[in-house]
Amino acid sequence: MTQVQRNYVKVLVVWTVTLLSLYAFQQYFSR
Amino acid sequence: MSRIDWFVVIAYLTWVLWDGVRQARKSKELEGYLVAGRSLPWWLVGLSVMATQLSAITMIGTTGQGYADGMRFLQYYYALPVAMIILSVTLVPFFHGAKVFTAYQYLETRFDSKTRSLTALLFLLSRAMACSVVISAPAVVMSVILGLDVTTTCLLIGIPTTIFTMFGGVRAVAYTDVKQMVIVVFSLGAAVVMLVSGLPDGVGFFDALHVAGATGRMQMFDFRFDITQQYTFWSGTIAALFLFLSYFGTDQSQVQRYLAAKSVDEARSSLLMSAYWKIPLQTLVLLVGVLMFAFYLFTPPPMLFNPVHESQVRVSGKAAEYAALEAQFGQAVSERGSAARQLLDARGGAGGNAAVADAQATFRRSDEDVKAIRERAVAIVRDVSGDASYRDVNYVFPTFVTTKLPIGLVGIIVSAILVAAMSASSAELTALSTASVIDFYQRFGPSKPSDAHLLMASRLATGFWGLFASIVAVWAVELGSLIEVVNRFGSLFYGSILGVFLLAIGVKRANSTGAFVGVLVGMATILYVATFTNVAFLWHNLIGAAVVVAVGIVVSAVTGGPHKGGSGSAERALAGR
Repeated sequence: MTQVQRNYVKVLVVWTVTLLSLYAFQQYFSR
Repeated sequence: MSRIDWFVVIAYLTWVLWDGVRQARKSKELEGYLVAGRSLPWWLVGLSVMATQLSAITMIGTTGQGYADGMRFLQYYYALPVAMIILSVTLVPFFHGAKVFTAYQYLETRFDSKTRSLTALLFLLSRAMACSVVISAPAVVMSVILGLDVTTTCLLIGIPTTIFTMFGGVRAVAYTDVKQMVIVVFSLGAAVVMLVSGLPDGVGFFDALHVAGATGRMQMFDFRFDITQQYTFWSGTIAALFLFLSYFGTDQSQVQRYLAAKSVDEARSSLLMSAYWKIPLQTLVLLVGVLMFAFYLFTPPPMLFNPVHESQVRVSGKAAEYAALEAQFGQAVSERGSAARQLLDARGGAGGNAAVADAQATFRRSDEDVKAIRERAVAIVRDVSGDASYRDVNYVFPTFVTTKLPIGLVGIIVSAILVAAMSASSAELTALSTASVIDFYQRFGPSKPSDAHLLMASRLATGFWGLFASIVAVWAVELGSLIEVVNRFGSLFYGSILGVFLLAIGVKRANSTGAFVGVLVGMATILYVATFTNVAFLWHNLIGAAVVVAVGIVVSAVTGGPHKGGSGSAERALAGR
């Protein structure tokens, strides 16, 4: 895997973690 | 504003103007002026790309949306990181390698001159309108803060922007963007700190979010699949993906940034910066709005946040009705504050979930009461002022800044709003100027113009578009919620523009007739959908792109397939320029 491809994977991982965190944030503060 | 605040604003704006004009010494030839000599580092391009998205409209309109609707607008940005990856893989290396000045140059090589001209014209129309709205947003702020009329304010923002962009070109725009990012992020952070410190004793940051959450303002995921709803998870991940692909992949104001990067990898890195930081930054902006809601639960808010309109109503025939409404509003706000405190007590008490649910229901009802009274007040303003599209939410943040923040910080935040407007509109001006000169003047103007001639033409075009945008901005103020206005303008055109690029790159058998007819039918379809249906505007991008591709394929097949060879030959031809 090239450096560029590794960067794309890193973005996707951070993106997924961000969305999951926001979902958890929503659920916690909306209950 | 105090004299100290005025000093801060004038000093900061003078520095921005001086530094922008100073960049003219590095923009003495066409390539230096339009794409900064293709020499900018990734961090500068990346900040510049992000700054354009974090305009004054974001600071005013989006914080207002956060106050009124909460965090749901965040869903709009969920597809952005994916779009950035797709573009980094596809269009970024393609455009960068082709050494073009505009994205639309490719369309002539692939199809024909009329397809290039039509697409560039659509860009000019959409961005000229958008640029006007970008200027009108801070005009709304300044008209409240300074008591100036909107026309004067639009010109106060538009003219200095036009001057430094005319001289400094893309390099000046990029360095102004960096200054903007620093001061805007500082301002938002300071606003959060001041809002939290302004909460009453015993009410902390997390309490504020819990109270806001009880009204649905912490909702960031709406999984309903309803194309009439503006912001849902699906519109944010599917429909908005097409908007971002079009905006960052085919809109000259964005393409021009990564054309200015010193290499393909630097261009890719600049886009990935947005992929990482856009959602967290937008969260911060909306959080300011949500915290303002919490702040005004415990500090009585004005019934209307625009003091100018309020004064008009007080001397009108509706004054008595307004005064009666104000009395009801004071009572409702007081009851809502008590309900908020009861909710927090219930959360910390031993009553369990049932007690919390009861307190939440009471609080929600009281918030609905306040909202209903405000809506009646807004209706009175619309009636008295004749401004049917008046929305009070755009005044919430500016009013909070000028009435609740300390001297000095007010000046910094006002400067941030003004510079945000200036840098965002300057980016649009360079793009409009580049498309005008490269896609039209160079082709239809004098034959074999010199580099110096085109440079002068570019500067004059920047001046023209600056004046145009400033004047149209006056009209744009009359439209509704500002952030949505910009996006609506864009969505009328973006889908069709993306469609023609998809056709060019992805469909080898597409020909110029198919592309041209496809764009026209795509535009007609979007205008129909926007006018006669209630499909949310984000979906216009997907519909427009799909119609252009489908019609383009059918018409190309009927008219005999590719006329100029497939996309591969076009890429080779362009790259060989």
